Amino acid sequence: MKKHYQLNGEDVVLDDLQLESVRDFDGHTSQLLSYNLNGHVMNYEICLHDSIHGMLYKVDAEGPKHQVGEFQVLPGMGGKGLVINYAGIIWRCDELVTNKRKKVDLGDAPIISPMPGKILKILVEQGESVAKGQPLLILEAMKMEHTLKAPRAGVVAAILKAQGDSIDGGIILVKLEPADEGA
Amino acid sequence: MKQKINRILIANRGEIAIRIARTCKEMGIETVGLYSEIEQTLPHVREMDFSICLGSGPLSETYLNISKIIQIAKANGVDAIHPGYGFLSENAKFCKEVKKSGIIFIGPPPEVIELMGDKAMSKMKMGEIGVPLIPGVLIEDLKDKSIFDLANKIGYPVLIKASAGGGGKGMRIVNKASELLPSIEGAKREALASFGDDRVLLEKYIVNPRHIEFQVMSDQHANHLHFFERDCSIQRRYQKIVEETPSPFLSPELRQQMGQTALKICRGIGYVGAGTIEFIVDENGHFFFLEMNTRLQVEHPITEMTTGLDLVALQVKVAEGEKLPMQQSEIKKQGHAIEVRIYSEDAENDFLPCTGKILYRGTPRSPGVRLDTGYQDGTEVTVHFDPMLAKLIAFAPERPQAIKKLQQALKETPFIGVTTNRDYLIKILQSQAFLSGDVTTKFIEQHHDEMIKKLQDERESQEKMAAALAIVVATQNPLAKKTTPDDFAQFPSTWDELSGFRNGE
Repeated sequence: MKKHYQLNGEDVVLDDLQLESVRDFDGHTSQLLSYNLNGHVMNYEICLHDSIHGMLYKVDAEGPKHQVGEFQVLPGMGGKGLVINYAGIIWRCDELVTNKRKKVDLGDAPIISPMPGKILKILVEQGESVAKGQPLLILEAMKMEHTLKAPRAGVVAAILKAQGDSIDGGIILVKLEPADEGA
Repeated sequence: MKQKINRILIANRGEIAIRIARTCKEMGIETVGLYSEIEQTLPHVREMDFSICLGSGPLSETYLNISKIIQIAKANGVDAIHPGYGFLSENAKFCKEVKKSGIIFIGPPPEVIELMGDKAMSKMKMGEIGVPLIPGVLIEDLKDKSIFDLANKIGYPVLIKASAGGGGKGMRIVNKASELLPSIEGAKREALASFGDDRVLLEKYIVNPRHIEFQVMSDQHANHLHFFERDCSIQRRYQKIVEETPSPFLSPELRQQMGQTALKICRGIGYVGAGTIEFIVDENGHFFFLEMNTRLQVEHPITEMTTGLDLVALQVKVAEGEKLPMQQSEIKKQGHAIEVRIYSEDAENDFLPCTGKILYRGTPRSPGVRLDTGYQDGTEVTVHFDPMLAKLIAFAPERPQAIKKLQQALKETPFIGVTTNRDYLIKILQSQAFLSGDVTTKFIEQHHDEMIKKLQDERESQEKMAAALAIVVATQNPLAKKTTPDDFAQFPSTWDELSGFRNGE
């Protein structure tokens, strides 16, 4: 079996995936796993204590299984994918269904408000050419000023909010078009 | 004049309200707590003997509404009000109004709050007392060309900061003349929005400084004590994120000298209550008065860990008119304590605050670890309040052990559900610079890229990634107990897991 995942934004493919469910003596469900990741064969045993907490063991062919760490696992934002706390890192993972992935053209991605707040100052005008990293507007949120900068060079195609507007998080503030070739 | 306190109103929320209530419980004092309408399900509401709703609306209608809070205090027969930190804790008007209504304010007299709350006035006073100060001046007129002359004379980089402020709001470092006016303008705007006062100061910016502060406590009988230092050099956006005591930088002589200066300040201003005197220490061990916080500090737990004292209990005793129950020579410190502040913010995106629902907080399990938080599983982090989720504090006999203990505690406290600085804090505690004790207020600026890179490398490391994926596969396997999105609409609580449990059987 082959599975595609996206782990913290990186695409990862697991080959030769084999899974076996076993019950240990006190009724916990353990999963024995073996797979091939970039040519490395990995063997793990995962013991889930409840719906959140678990312990991860590495199983070597000869040696004893050894504990590599505990984890907590929960459904991701909006019920999409999983979020795992393991080894002092938060892992966000989605299973990718192949052939259904849309290609996003980042060249047209708008500037989105990272959080709710108030627009204090707009520093650019429509039609203005901006350089990568150039401040576009100042947002006040949580009593702090945050400067939103251009993620890439381009031309300001539209400014959808005005100075003094109170805004929600996740809404489009500025549309940035790629600069004309040779301009 | 002695007056026993039997009931306290805690004019605050979250972790600090809970922390104050814990001590009140131990002392047999009843607590009256506050909450706004959107906070009904938060832990601090349940911690109090009585909880009163402040209604809804902006902070000016709730936690900053002086008349409403005093009215609640009167209606509930409290003897005293503890303001915590932030909100009204350093508001002289509030302090006056509380006293006028015949209620004890747990904190210093209003005149002292007023004096130390104003950076310009407090500096003048410190000069009179003979406390070393950083050269600087109040900017009265933005257009004045003499600002440029002054900045040139002091020498770049210079610092612009709000006269009334704290917590990094309204602060700007200016490296060259062309940045001066926009920075002053921005600082004034932020100062006005945060403190209602747009006066700003221009001063010398000290390179490679350490932020070292002294905890003080004074009673109403002119006894002044200090409880040693806290090194709070690691800051982002001018807000502390890691604090420790003792400071790895201070020699016993310098500690003694700074402690004496802290006491001199307390005597000089007639201080009463708990306070913190912040100093900037340069690479050669010269220290300058920065500001005094006339309240309990966020990072007070590390002092409690190393001195074995309860600062809130001492605050209450002082407010009752008791004498401080010890001499300076009786205050001993032992071991090493470190605190980290877990914030809901994205360390990889300019420390932008984040919101969300905490699905799993976690609880550190090692002895010697303290978790002060106002959040638990299922609670929402909103834009209405400060994004600090928790303070995690570790205590051990030596610094290296305390660091290891805190790393482990952080691993056990992930706050899943909202983006936090947890992973980043672990990287700070693992960094060579921190391990060697080489910390200045430039720490984040200098080591940020390196720590982000380490974080990203670790995420990409074959071993850890493989392990994380194994967890994904195993938990998504239909044979395993499946967690669906619906499960966290009704988050599993311990009670759900007690099936078949019969009390008394």
